Amino acid sequence: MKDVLEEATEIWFGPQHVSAHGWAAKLTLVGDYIVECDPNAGYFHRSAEKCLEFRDFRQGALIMERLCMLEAFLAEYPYVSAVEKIAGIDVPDRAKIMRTIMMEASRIHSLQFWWGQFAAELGLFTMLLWPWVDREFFLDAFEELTGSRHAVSYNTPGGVKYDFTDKFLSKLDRAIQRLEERMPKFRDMLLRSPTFKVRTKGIGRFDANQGLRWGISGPNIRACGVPMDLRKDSPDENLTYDMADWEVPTYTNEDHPGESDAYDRMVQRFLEIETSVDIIRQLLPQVPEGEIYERKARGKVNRLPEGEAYGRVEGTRGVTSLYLRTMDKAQTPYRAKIRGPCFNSYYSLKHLVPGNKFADFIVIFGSLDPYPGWWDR
Amino acid sequence: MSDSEQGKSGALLIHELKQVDDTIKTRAIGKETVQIRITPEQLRELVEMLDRLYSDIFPENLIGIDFEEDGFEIIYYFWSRNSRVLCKIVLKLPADSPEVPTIADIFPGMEWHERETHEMFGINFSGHPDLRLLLLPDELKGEFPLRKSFEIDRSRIHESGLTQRRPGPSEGGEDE
Repeated sequence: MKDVLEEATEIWFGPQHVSAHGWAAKLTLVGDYIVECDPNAGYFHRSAEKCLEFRDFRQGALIMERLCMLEAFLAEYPYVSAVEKIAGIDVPDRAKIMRTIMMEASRIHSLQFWWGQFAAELGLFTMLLWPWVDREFFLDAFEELTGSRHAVSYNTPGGVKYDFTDKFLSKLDRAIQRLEERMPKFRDMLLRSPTFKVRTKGIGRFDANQGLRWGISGPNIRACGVPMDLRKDSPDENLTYDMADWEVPTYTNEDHPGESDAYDRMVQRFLEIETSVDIIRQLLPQVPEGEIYERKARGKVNRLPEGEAYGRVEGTRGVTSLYLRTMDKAQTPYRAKIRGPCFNSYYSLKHLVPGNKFADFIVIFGSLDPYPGWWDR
Repeated sequence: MSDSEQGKSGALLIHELKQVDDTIKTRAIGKETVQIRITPEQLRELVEMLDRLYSDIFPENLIGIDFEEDGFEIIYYFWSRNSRVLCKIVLKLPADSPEVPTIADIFPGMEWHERETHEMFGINFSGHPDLRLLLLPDELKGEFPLRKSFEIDRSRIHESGLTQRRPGPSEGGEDE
């Protein structure tokens, strides 16, 4: 009998492929089927961890947000949180709730971006443009608040940098209203589309236990019915998720409970958007009067005592964390390690992809909401 | 996986560890974190025990730290959502020939974390299936950029080999 692998073809998917924005995977094909997948990382590697060792504790957050511009408010938070823990800074109540609101707005923005991009990867280009138009309204609000659409640098050790203004609040409200009006329409259109169903149902299936072992977290694991969410499980003392009444969104597919495929992950992310909108709507009227920045923090972050801290936050794509180690009277970190949530979901392609058709590769990849900045750092 | 495990807190882990080996140093930090200091030989046994105790254990992070002449430190983070335990395993490694057994066969999620720590610090993970470079270009093989001894001064950048153009296929270089 002849070995099928003798006729195998090796091809590179990326880094020039349109959908492969800064990554590449080596695929081994037999006919139309993938038998081996070797995801490659490093095309975006900027050595952020080494850079952090040469930046002071105010500058560090700026490097963090550049790892994932789509969720900038969330990406910079683990660093800020770790610095606050070591320096022992108390954050004013007003800043805590403002942080939480902006982080949820950032999550919605990131999910809208992904949703359009994923649809485009399946060839549904109209669905690329609609959510991206709505996303612009969030970017307008961010620009009104911080002066920048993407590189917001909002959170800082000790509080936030810019106060809410009436103009900002009306822009945020307009963005959310537009989302609420249009999203249900688009969601039904996409989820009922025969093309979309054929391309995603049953593709890239894994169960909760496998997913956890591969290190997958966030919406990808919640689509398997596991309510794993740091916002609820390990609430951060400087965020105010407990002031809103909400449930961790999980989706269970009746046909295969405990497992998720690309279609389930899409449904899950619509639930995520709804939850975030709900949290923002509940938190906005509760913003108290007061300071947005702890003045004592200004002196404290110049030199930190010896210590270590682990800042964690539930990012759009899963558990995002930063380990910070400082030496005595440190002006810069001794070691900072970033855990990007996509590091593990990208790795898991190695296990998820073999056995699928070549055309389904991009569906599996896209359904995990990957962002190269998070694995290359 | 159910919520019945809730209440199986960090105290249980500390208790179980005492039964196995009372020389292991454990310490509860805050509400969730349990810090465990062990030697590299005890690592695999401990990780298998975590796997048994918590049905939803999640391999979260692996951190390498270079203390120059004082050797290296490796920190593993495992999170159990049902029990709300963040397990922090700390290992000390010698400065010359640091080596630790791999746990990538128990938790595949650690495979790339180990691969990254290997290329950045030069720590050997014995038994690891694939220790190729992950993020670094080929020029930096064996340079270990996250070690403190790695200079990033611009005046010395030519030593890294990154400033020279790679030879193309017609010039006798590799065709990639």
